Parts: sequence; structure tokens; C-alpha cells
Amino acid sequence: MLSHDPWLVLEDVHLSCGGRPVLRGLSARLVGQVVGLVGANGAGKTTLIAAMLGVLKPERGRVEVVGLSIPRDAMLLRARAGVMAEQAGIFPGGSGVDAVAFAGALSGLDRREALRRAHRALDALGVGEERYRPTQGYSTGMRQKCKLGMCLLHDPDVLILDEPTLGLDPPTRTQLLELIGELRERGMKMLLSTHILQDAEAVCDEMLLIEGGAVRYSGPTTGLLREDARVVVARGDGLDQPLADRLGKAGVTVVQVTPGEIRFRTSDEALRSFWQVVAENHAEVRHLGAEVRSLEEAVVSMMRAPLGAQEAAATPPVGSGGAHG
Amino acid sequence: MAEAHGSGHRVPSSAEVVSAITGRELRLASQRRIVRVLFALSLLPLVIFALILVVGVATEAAFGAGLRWDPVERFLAVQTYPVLLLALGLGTPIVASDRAEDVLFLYATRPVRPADYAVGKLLAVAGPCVALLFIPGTIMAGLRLGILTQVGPSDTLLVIGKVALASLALGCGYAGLAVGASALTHRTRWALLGALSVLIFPDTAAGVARLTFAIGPTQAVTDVIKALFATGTARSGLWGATLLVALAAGGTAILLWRARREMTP
Repeated sequence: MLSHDPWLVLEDVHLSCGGRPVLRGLSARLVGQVVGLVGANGAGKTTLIAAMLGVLKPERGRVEVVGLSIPRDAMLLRARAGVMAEQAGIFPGGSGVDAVAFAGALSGLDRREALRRAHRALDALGVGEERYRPTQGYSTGMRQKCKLGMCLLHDPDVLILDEPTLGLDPPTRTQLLELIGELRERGMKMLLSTHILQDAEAVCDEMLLIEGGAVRYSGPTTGLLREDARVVVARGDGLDQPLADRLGKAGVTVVQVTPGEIRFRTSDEALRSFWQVVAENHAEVRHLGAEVRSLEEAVVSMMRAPLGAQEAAATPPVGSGGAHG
Repeated sequence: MAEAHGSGHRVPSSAEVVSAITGRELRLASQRRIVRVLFALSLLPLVIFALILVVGVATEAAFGAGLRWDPVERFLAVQTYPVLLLALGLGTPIVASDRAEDVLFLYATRPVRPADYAVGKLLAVAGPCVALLFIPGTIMAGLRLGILTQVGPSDTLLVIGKVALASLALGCGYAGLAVGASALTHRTRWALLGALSVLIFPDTAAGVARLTFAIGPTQAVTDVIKALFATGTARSGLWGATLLVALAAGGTAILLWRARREMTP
């Protein structure tokens, strides 16, 4: 679901931690209701989240989240946002329901109301009697549910989820993704930082791919997948290396050859040449179509490609974003 | 699951945040067996001294030989030990456990300022310590008024004032010591060891060197109580109070430094 007004605006954001530049001129305008934040370890995802919350202050640039200017309105954003931090645990010492209610109290709910909401949230998340047990003995799944409960309790306008499905078993992970889908239906804006790209593909409308503290891609998830639609896969008999060599001589850019399968970059000219070479060599093509890749493959291929090459190959993105250097 | 926020989204005040943090710590502390035992133990001196007072008055009436010392002062001197144990029991895990669980950043994702966190944690230790000295001390002063014929209401009010001063100095000093030690490590046992070192070594060194002024918290507390009840010098009492305030300030500064440093990802 894409609206026209960006809820997350980053303009030339520069931020250093301990003298080391982490964010280097990050710029993006994101409109998607669920935005996937992806990037390798150390790319600057957690630092970006901290900058969005005003916990870390950029040396330069502008950060705006749901219309609030950060760091000026950071406290208001923190009151309006629910954050599930990957590295942070649960408030220690008490039971699950106590920790969840405490999170609500810190957001300004009175204790009785926070406790009532905590029970409701844990009911909805499928946490039964375990809620009364000390949190030290909780499984990873239970901890993640409690953490999600903690960030949903005060009915936030925006959710920032850092690796919410990390360490979860498949049924719990599916349950959590379904819940994210439900929240999306209710109109909640979300930033989902994850390494599990299947999760991002399942729920995100828009992607923000960062690398080395800069934006590598920002825009619709479909746009990221479409970048690979320029590659065509041909399958059939006689599609082998000698034929690929002949295609190359005919001006077709062959990407990959495996026995019975050739991938090449498409254009009207390349297609004409392809059919001509196939006919001349009596090869038989049984399938010809755009390559369908997963988000994971698309992201990995984008991250592996050198910056300049990627920019040259990038399809103009739909909506607000695009590939960035 | 997400419900409409009754009052809309607003930034809670520092007082609300501090109250939430302190309230939770106190609730959790009240559920811990060791704290309950320490609390029960801390009531023991009150019972014993009340009995001594009653028996002393009865003895005076029967034989004409009464107590030659002020029961409130003695009570306060004894009561400092359970209060110290309570401060260590409450204070040493208070930040260390948060650090072990890595939740300081979690506080930062909420509308919580580092100062709110520090004050909330410090009050959760100082509050019970002050109360545990002040409330029984006031009860003792009341008993004294009811039992001893030579004690009047104005004298009792003065004693309550002295008890309040002693409670504040001791409660804040011990809380600063325990919380400061807790903020230096992420293991409660190390925090306990650190706090015990500060309690034991300076006083021992002062004893060995035969110093006439306190350099450790235990002696400082004794000097403050003695000065308040006119059995010690005002100078040593003032110095002791300064030492306790410095301990409270030092602990708060360490806690604040830790919160500012770790309320980041």
C-alpha cells in the first residue's frame, strides 16, 4: 500500500559513532506502509533507527518521521512509536505481564490501564499463563512476543521492528508475519529491519537497501524485483556454451549458461538476434520468459554488483525511490 | 490488540516516568525474599528498643535507676546496619541487571531521559532506606514521649527533625554507594563486592591510622548521628554529612554517566 506523502524523510544524513562515519549522506523519501530496511551487518541499519528516534544525533542532514522533525520532536516520536530492538531484552526482574505493563507506563499510561492493556496484548499474541512466570526462563519465541507486546501496548502510530523474527520457529514466525500484515491492514506504518529477506518480501511495500551507510536502493519492493526482469531465461534443447558463444558474437549479452538453459539481457534487438541464432543452429526453445527471482536474490545481486555497474543496470524505480550511489 | 490511546499520544512528564521506574523497582523488591527478610529484620531493633524503653521506665519506677542514654540515638545507631543491608540488597542489582539484560537502549526507545532513569533508580533505593530509618525512628520518638515523663512535645519534634536529617543523609549516601557500584558493572556480585570494598577499606584504614575524622561511610554515619544527638562534635558530624552527600552525588554521577553512555544502540 503506497500513499503519496512520505512518512520517513532522510536528507543527506551524516552520522559518526566514535569518530567512525556510519551514515554517509543517506537520502530517501519513503511512502510505503511497511518499509523493509535491509543491508549487510554494519551497513548502518541500527544507527539509522537510533537516528530516527533521536537517540543519536546526525552531524548533518534532515530526519523526519511521521511529520516530526528529529531530534527536535524526538520525545514525541518516542511516545508515538513502538520499537522492538534486536539487541535489547525485556525489562528484567518480573513476569512477562509486568514487563509489558511497565513499557506502557513508561509511555505515559497509568499503571492500571497499562496492566489491562498488557493482558489484552498478551492474549492476542497467544501468551497464556506463561505471562505470570519470570521472564528469565522464557524461550526466544516468548521473549519476542513479549517484546512485540511491549511496543504495541500504547497504540503507536509507527512501529520500528528490528529483526522481529530472529530465532523464531517457523510457526511462530508465520504468526508474527501475519500479525504484521494485520497491523498493516489497520493502517499502521512500519519499518522492518531484517536480514531474512523472505520476511521483507512477504510484508514490505517498499525497500530501503543501505550499504556502507549510504542508500543503495529505495523504492517499491516490486521495483527491486523488476530490476531482474531485464534478464530473460531460455530453456530447451541445444542451448549450450557453443550457442552462447554465437549469441555473444551476434551482440547478445549472455549472463549465465547452464546445460539446457541460457540467461541473457533482453532488448528488441537482442531478442531478434537470439531467435535468428537459435534458428540457424537448429536449437529448440521450449520456454522463454523473464527471470523470476526472489527478493533475496535481487538484493544479493545488487549488493554484489559494483556501485557504478548497479546504477547503470538499475531500472528507473516506480514511486519515490531509486537506486542511489 | 493495539487500542485507542485514551488521552492521545503525549510525552509523559519526568515525574511520571520516575514514578513508573521507582514504583516498579519497589514492587519487584517487595516480591524478593531477601528483601522481605531484611525488612522484617529491620523492624527487630524497633521492637527491642521499645521493650528496653518500657523495661527501663518500669525499673526506674521500681528501683529509681533509669536509662542513662537516649534510646533514639542508640536505636538509630543499631538501625543503620539493617538499612545498610537493605541498601545493598536493593541497590546492587538495580542497574547491573538492566545492563546484563541490555535494556538501557529499550529505555531510550521510550520517552525516558537518562536523568529520569537515574533519578528513578536512585529513589527506588534511597526511598526505602530513608523510610526504614525515619519511620521507626519517629515511632521511637513517639514512644519516648508517651513513656518518659521528662520528655515534652517540643523535644519530641526536635528529635523527629534530627531523625529526618540522619535518615536523609544515611539513605541517600548508602543508596548512592549501592547504585553507583551497580552502574559500574553488569554483574550483581561484582557490584556487591565493590560496595563492600568502599564500606570496609576506608573505615579500616581510618581505624589503623587513628584518624579523628571519617573517610568511610560507616564512620560518617556514626559521626552524623552522634553530632545530631550531642554526643559527638558538630565538626565531625558536618564532615560525615558532607561525605555521605558526596557518596550520593558520586553514585548519581556514575549512574547518569552510564545511562547517557548506554541508552544508545
